[in-house]
Amino acid sequence: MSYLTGNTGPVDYEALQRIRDIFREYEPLVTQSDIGDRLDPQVELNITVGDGFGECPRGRFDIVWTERDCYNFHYTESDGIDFRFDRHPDPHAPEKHFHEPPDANTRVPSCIEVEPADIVTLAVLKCWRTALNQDDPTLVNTRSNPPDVVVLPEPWLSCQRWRCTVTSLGRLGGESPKSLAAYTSPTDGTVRPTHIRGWACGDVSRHRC
Amino acid sequence: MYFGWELYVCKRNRGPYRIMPADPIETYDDVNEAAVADWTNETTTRERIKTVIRRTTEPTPASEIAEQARASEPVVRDELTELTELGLVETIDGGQGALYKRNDQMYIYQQVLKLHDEYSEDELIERLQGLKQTLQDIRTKYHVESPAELAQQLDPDDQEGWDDHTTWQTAQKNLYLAKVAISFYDARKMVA
Repeated sequence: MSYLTGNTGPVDYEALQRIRDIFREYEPLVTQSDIGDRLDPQVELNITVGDGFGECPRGRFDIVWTERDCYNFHYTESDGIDFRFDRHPDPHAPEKHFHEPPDANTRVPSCIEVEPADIVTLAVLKCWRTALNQDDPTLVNTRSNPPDVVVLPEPWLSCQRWRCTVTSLGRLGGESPKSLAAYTSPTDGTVRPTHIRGWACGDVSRHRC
Repeated sequence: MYFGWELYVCKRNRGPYRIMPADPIETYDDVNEAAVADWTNETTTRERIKTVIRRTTEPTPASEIAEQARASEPVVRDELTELTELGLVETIDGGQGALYKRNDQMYIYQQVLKLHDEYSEDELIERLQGLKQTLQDIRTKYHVESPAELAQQLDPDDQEGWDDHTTWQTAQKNLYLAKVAISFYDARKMVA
């Protein structure tokens, strides 16, 4: 079963084939790729990679792509690490969102903004590989490598319209902890992601504007 | 794009701290820009235009296709003219200049050829029955007659319901394509 909600259009088999080809071509860790049957109405692409986070020897991507460019790139490991890059209508998140590790239950804005299947696939590969090389799944949804520390512009800190929620925490060797924060406008629901220095997960009320 | 070639502690070789030259660590300011750069480096302009137009189902100006394909507008116009002559693209005369979209009939024909590659006639008939059953099961489950009707009654976060909605749309498309492919097998017997 896919993790898509909303009106996504039919599954796009051609896109799944291209995504498979890009994985095979770009990623030497790919050990196996299975794409279901062309006429199966619940077809998905499964890609196994020969390394995982920590001691886990392998991981698997379960991928669905539809004709309206909605997608799931769900990564799973047998010992429980799960995360997912998504794009689809979701009442609790912007269309392009990320379900964080370790259990893919939370939703935060995705660092992937590009939309065509080929480019999204390349971006997912980069995000995952960068985090894998540093053996830190909390780095997957990170726009830059090494991660940027963006100091918040003063107007954001003092403004009344933006509410911020610190949603994840990453650490890069030797530097201070970095948090990914999502600023949500209570008036129109707009979300702006950013990195900030030194905040902890769950810091919400302390930083409410 | 910059590749750092520094030595990296490879976690697969932990234990007696061996330092291994691992895969180069790629650095980038924005993963989106880096992915676009990879795409343009690894594909030809022609391939990118084809990739974009294959998914263009609404009449679209060349400038927009050029932007999506990271190509110049004159090159896009040339390529699309050629693809129009081959029947793969439809050119529509808009008031402000030509608009382009994929040729849906040709798209369907290509799908049929792929089905013929992958399934025998008997397999297609078997699949057709399976698809009909899937559609019937979903109709019965929700007591509605179309995906649009189903969409109206679903809560925005009803994951199983929306999954069935996607399955319904996919099964419906596949059903039509399977029917055309079966007709093509029949027609071929007549003209052979």
